[in-house]
Amino acid sequence: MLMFLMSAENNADNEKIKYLYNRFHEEMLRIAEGKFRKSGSFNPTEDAEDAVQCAFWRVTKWIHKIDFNRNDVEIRNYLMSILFNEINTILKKFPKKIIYCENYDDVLDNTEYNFLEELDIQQKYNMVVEAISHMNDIYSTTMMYIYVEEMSAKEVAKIMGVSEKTVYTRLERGKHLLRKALEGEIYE
Amino acid sequence: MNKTDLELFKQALVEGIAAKIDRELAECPERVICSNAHYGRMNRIINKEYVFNLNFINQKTKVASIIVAATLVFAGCTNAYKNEIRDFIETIYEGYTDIKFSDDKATAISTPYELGYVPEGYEIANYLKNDTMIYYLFVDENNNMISFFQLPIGGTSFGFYTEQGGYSEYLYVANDKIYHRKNTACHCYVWNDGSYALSLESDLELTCEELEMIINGIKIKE
Repeated sequence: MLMFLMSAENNADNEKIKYLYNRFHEEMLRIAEGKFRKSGSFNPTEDAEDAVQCAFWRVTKWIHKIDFNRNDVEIRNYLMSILFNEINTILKKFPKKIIYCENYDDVLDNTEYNFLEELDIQQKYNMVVEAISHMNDIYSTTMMYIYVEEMSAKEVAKIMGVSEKTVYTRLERGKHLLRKALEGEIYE
Repeated sequence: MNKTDLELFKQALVEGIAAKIDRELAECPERVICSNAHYGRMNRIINKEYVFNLNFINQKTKVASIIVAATLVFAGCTNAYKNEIRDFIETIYEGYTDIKFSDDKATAISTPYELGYVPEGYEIANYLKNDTMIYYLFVDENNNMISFFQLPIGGTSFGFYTEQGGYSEYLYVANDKIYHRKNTACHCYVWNDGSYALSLESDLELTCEELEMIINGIKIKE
């Protein structure tokens, strides 16, 4: 919430941020511009600049969450998840361009089930990867924060700038969509 | 939970998201020509200039700028005698508000503070110090956090996202005028004591009594 660069208070963190900038800045700009262009932005480059700047600011705050021992693919996923969140925040200012629904009441399932067992991921691994690759960013990144980054809902809420309830509902919706995709019903 | 399933699912998430990014990159232009202003702002971010005034939102979003004078509507807490009004400069953007005290440049902190009081149950979890910032983090058993910042008055501003709702108000506590911002995630309290810009960020709303005890408990670190 407070826009401090406090996370970058030491040289090691600063070097990490510079590395991220040199390695991923261009790709982040391209992705952001492409998304804004598709969304009908009047100035996709300027919107992309805003999104990338805000994303990098957030990265400075959460730099301690980035494990630099991981490979670049995972680091890029993490950075892009932050960027997607900033893009979605800006896109919300385009009322008719919102492409996802934030009303989850129709998909919340109160019955307990073992999500991973139900996925049958041992047998359907490639299908799961494919389904995730077609999923809306807000759901796939929420699942990534929870499962890959092992962040708490509270931490995810902070990094995404939403309430904890929204984190849980996005997680549930993501699982729901994944199950439906595996059943061949939907890709979102 | 089957650990193998979990590890596979993590791997699937990493691969799936990476595949999506690769696919989108392939559809994007090879290069985006950015403005010089963008590179300037990025330079400020990545080179940690300790410029807390991160006006990195493009100027098109700036909708109003006001100087907050002593005629603001004050709310809550005590309205006690004040020796000195230390005004805020509040700049309101679309979805973002910036608070600062001065346009001067930052100077090093020569008199470090510490908190003599924190609400019951909180214990210190982190402490950072450099020339222009001192930071304490306190955490309770439920992982609720309170952080305290000491910063130079010059060169410091505090930015708040406002588009997610919440509210702002001014409080008078312990002879200090405090800007209080409530967002979805936490409460922020910003003020200056005539020597330094100070802020508290708390997951839980602090009562006026707690605020007063914290502020009165601020002392020079030995």
